[in-house]
Amino acid sequence: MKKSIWLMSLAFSLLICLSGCTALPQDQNSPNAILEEVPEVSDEPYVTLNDNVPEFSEQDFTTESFESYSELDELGRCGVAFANLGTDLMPTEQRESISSVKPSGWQSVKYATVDGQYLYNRCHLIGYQLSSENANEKNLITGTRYMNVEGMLPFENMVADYIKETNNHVLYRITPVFEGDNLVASGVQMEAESVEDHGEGIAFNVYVYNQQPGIEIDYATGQSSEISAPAEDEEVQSYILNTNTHKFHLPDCSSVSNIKTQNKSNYTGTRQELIDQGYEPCGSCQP
Amino acid sequence: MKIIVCVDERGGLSFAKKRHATDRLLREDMLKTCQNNTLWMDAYSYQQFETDFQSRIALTENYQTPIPEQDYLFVERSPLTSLLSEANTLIIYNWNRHYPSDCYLDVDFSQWHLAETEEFPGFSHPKITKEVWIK
Repeated sequence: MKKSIWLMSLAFSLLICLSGCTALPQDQNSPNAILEEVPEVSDEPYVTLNDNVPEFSEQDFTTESFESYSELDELGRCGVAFANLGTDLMPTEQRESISSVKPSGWQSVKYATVDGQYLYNRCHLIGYQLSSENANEKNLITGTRYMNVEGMLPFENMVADYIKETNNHVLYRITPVFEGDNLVASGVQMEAESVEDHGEGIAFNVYVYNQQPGIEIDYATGQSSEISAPAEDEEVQSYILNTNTHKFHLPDCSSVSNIKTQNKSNYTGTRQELIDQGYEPCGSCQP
Repeated sequence: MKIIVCVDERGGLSFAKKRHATDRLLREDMLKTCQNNTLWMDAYSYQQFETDFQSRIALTENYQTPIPEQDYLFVERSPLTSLLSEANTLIIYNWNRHYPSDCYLDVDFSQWHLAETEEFPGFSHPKITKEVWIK
């Protein structure tokens, strides 16, 4: 895996050199290194990396706009997208359809709990509002609605509005992070730094999770399922215990009145907890 | 004093100690709102005004300077809780955009009433909403 990432990085560097651009991307952290740095799950759509300091090298900085996209790898997955964003790259027309692109791991699946219902969006690495890129397969990954709207879009908005306000450039690098041979990215690293004011206006380095609250995703294939509500066994409620027979009952069970006082005990908790303690459900009230 | 803040559409003030955005037409409106009174701010905020109207701005670090009742305080990256007891007016500019945030507006609006709302186009923001809240 590391070898393929290294080769992709080398090919990307050569591509930049051949294009005549002076900005070279620095070596990328391996996906595993990024995943080791961030909590596996988070209640937030994004977390900062490297104290929020982007890791561009000195030679990356230029006042000329450019954009570059990695070739798809052998699994059809996107790699690093790197750009020096300026007003000249921003769109002047409405976005065209991108539905012809099927990014790796793509599934068209709907859930009632998802904003807009569709779990996955064709998620731009470099957003349309920044790059004018339409159906570029090297710039589109399978991303959850949540990652797209709650995670990446706020940062794109911040960069776009800064460029419009100042007419300055912003170095911008998006690294999709695929674990092993997974077809769906676990998340994306977003780095940005404003050029002319040396990061005074824009500077961030964040990891955005490709997650969707309430939905479990198999990142190897893109298949997904709704996380079910807690089972009945996990519901907390009151029970009456017979500490002699080790049976447990519902409070209104007719057998409760037959339990001797010294053997009767109240319990509030889950059904499974009682079973784990060696209790059996009453055959009559079937708690 | 009168406090001025800018928020995103979810009430966020800033992310990682950096402001979300600037807009030259918002700055113009802010200075117009202050009329002849002084606009106080910290050195970070002052940077975006340097070429605009320096003479009408006074610097305060960590907002420790006692600010006269008629003057204005522009706060970009700090929760307001400790400042609100001294404030009689709160002016909120809403960018009407969603930006990343880790610092949010922390105001109990039950103690305030909305006296004025205005919308205007910014230079880099299609619609900025200005709300004036009075205690």
